[in-house]
Amino acid sequence: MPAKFPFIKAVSIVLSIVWYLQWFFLAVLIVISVLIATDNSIINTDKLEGFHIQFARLDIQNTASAADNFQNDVFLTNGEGRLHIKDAGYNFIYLRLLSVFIDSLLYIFIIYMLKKIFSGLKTDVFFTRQNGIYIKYIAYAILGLALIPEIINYFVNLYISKTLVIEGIVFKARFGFDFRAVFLALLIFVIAKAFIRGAELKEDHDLTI
Amino acid sequence: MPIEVNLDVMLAKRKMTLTKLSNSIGITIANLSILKKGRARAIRFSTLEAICKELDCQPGDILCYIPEDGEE
Repeated sequence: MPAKFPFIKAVSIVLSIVWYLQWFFLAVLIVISVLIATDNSIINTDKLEGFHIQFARLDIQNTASAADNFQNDVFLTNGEGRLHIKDAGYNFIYLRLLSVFIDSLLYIFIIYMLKKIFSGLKTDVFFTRQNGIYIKYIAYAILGLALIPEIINYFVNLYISKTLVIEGIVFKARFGFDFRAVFLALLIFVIAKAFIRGAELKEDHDLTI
Repeated sequence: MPIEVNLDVMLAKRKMTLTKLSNSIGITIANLSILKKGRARAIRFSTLEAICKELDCQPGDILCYIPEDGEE
């Protein structure tokens, strides 16, 4: 006999797997953070990707020109790149880890909410006010995902631009966020509002004798 | 809610059970129970008509308005 809601069951299983993977990732992240904080020789910093940064000006001195073989000074402005920091003693590494930690927690929260919504689907009671509230929480979490890491990154960049001195490079901190994620969060928020209103109308209809 | 439903009073006056009323007017016992306990949000004219017809009474015998505290 086929299951009553095979698709929902399949999605629930996938959500459960992702849920445990997220917790595993979070545990690994905590372990790595502790290892870096206590003994950073365990971590091969050569393999770390580094930080995404923007620079206001990058001077490249004594560059040989292919055409006339003269030595010229050139500079690049408003560029982007990755800053590879081998010394784990910089405090902003922990700020960056905090950003990833908050990211993971928000993902776990979203998956938890989705699990709750899908468990309601299994019982065929979906159009409820509570599910609307869960969807609203998801919207808030997506808004957090769009803004919180970017705010932390901005402070990291600000810290780098204020403290790190490398000759020939002028760092600058720029705040930017993924507008699409904010737009998506607002869209989900509207859907949640409509869902809650719909659930109220359904309740009114159910209690009209 | 300041509207009170006196369905149980009328049922007692007519010596009728909720089950019998339910069978005669075609509304489930669950829905009549919601109405009797005052948990209903609204009542259709058709339902009111059917209840009044069966219990031989006026809508005012089933529904009455009791002002809440602070209301005139």
